[in-house]
Amino acid sequence: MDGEHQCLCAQRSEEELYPELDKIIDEHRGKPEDLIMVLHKAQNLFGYLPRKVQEKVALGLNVSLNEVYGVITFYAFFTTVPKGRHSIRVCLGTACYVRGGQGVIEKIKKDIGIKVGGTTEDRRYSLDVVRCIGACGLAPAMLINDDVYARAKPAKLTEILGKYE
Amino acid sequence: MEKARINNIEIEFDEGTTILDAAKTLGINIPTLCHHPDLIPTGACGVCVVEVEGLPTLTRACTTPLENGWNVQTNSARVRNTRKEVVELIISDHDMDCLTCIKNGKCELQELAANLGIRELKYPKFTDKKPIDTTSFAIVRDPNKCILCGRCVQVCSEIQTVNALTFAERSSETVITTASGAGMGNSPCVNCGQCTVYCPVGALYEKSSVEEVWEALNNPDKHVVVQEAPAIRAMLGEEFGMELGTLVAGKMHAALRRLNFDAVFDTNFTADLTILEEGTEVVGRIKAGKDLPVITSCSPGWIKFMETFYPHLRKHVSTAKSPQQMFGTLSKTYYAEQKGIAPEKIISVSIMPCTAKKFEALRDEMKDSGFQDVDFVLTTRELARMLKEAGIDLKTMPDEPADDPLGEYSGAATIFGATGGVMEAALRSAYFLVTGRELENLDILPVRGLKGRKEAEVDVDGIKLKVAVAHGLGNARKLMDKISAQLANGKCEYHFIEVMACPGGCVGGGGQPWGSDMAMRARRGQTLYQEDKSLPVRRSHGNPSIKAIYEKYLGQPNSEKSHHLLHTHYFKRSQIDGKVVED
Amino acid sequence: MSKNTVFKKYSALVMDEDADVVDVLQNVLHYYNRESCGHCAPCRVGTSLLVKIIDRLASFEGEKDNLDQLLKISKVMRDTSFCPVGQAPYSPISSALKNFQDQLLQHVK
Repeated sequence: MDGEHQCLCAQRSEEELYPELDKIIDEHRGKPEDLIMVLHKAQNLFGYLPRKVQEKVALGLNVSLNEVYGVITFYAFFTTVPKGRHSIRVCLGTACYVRGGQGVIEKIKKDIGIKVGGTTEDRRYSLDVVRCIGACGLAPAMLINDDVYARAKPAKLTEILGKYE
Repeated sequence: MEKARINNIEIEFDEGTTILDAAKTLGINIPTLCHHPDLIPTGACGVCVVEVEGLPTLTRACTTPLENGWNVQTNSARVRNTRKEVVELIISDHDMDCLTCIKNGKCELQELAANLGIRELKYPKFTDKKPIDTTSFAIVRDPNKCILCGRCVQVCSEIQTVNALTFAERSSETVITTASGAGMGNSPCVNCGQCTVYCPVGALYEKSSVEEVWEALNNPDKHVVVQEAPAIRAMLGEEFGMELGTLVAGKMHAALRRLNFDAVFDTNFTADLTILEEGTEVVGRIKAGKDLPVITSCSPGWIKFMETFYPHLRKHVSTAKSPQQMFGTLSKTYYAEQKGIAPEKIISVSIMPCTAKKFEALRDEMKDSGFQDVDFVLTTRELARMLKEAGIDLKTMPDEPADDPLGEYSGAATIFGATGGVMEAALRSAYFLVTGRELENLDILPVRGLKGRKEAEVDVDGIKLKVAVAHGLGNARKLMDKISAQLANGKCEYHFIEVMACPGGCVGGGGQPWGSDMAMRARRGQTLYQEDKSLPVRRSHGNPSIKAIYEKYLGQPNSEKSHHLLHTHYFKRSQIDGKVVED
Repeated sequence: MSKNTVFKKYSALVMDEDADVVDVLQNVLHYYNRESCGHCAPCRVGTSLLVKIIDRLASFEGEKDNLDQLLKISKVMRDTSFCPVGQAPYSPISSALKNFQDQLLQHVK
């Protein structure tokens, strides 16, 4: 799924995506109960949910913009911040946490200057926390795009991040 | 009948009765915070917990139906300690500047903390200071005071169906806000202010004009006139500890004189004038069969709601301005002329049970006098605060009449403040306008009372007039959906419709005293009907001052001059941010 | 096994002596705080205060009262929260206090 929306954002400007959004909305027009499904599809299309997309979904499904906003901010899956070209995901499951996952995050935050959930201004990186990727034996673990980094050490991070242009 | 025991007292109850309601019938009050009798209980706060024998955790009394055979304790040591600790948790993240809070002395959280004997702040505040939302012309929202009980969201979405407020984020970051945090002034909020009535703490309140009015009153170069809406006389007494439903019209006029207003008039005068203007319009449109049904235009919350959600019905809404705005225009034209006062020296103040009136007064088109027609709007609560600041006790005031020429009123005007009142007043005069004879039985009972939607059929010389009344915007929405569907099919069954934005009408307005519920609104409405009954003139067209203004100034209802000064037009608004959009 | 059988889920976490119980509690309490939907006050405020307190302990700035507060808050949450998220923190807190009080006290100033 990640790969799918990445290539879409990379290849097409946001403006070009709106006709496709209109098609999605048309399938659910006037159906407030489909809100989460439509937001899901819209985020797959745009990579995130900008205000204009929220407005179109609200008017199309006949729900208030407030309700859309409430849903987007409630579920961690939805984001109003565009994703970077490279998605950094640090595991903070119990094992990774106890083995120093938080230190990994602090170092990355310092290196690229963003908060968890944020994207760098040049849209090179975005940073998120995940809860257990099933690699507890390799703790602390980290993912960049689809590459797994085991026993991540803060000292090595600058070099690792540099590989992703 | 089911049987159970509460605090060892046996009780018989109907299935489905909550523990809270069942206890109440025994005279046992369980403390609550988020619960409100007008709203569906959500159990958000956890204050009303009780102990049910045999259940492992405590149980919420507001959301849990009592069950056969249960043994409930509402004041066991475990319950009392836990209840107190829940309140200690809630106040840990609440701004504690109670002495300078607008709700000081009227706050439900303050009262609860006092009742439970909370004496120390145990825990530190865990959220950062948030900015206060002042984007609206009518309502201020202070998220630092908000305890997230959700009453405002409930009333805005379930009762008013406006959906201007929402819960957003989650966990420690949970807030009540507007979409993208853009502020109430950039939302579809219609300024009805019901959120300010239901908020238990000081998180939602009117944008105050008290300081501006003090300044005007202290300025010797200004001639400051005041009008009071019909509903004020049925609720202002509550602010001074008078019995609910006490009529204080005369005391209110006297108190305003003691605040040094240069002339104390009455919105009831322009309510009568509204009936003549709107009634003439209705009769004309019925005779011509044009743009029916006609819908009333007195309620500014309803007007913005209509512009936002039903703009296609604009041509059905009467062009007559609301009584407040008619008064504003006339205070700076007719009155200025009669008295020989330069209109730019006049400051026109209104006392309203309403927050939407603040927005209405600031509309760009409300300048037909050549100036802003109404300068400042004060809610009932703001007037009470001014009177208290000046040491004026309403209870001790003599009864005084309002001043001429904008003060005399009929019984038809005073019932404007209750749902159905405008309809009843209009029918009393419409009958005369059509037939030339007076309607004999003036009490049109089917349009009175708190039923959400009311209908009646009135025979006017063989013409059967079908009328409908809706109060509360959720009820208005249902009626407008019905009308829209009928109009789409070519024919609507109704001739004339009254809509009031607030449940109960103006006696239930967003500017009413804090701590009100529907039962109180109903009681205030009765007070207005009692005043109507006691007045010598009960028909708007019988008001001598109304006859005089047409003779001296306006000519006749719907004359060119009336149209210029007393009528308005409407816009289409965005459902996203409430701003005017092109058609 | 009938199709109506309900599995009860248990989980166990095995750690060596190097693991600090405050670290473990910190992770668990942050988890419940994040998972709190924010609807009911006891869970929203409770989990928020619990993480505030455990964070202070984790950075060795805790006070002796804090241990008592953890227990008291989580107990009110257990009794008054709407759903199991708010009811859950009591169990790890009470067992940590019972079995690892020494370690917890080392984090007090």
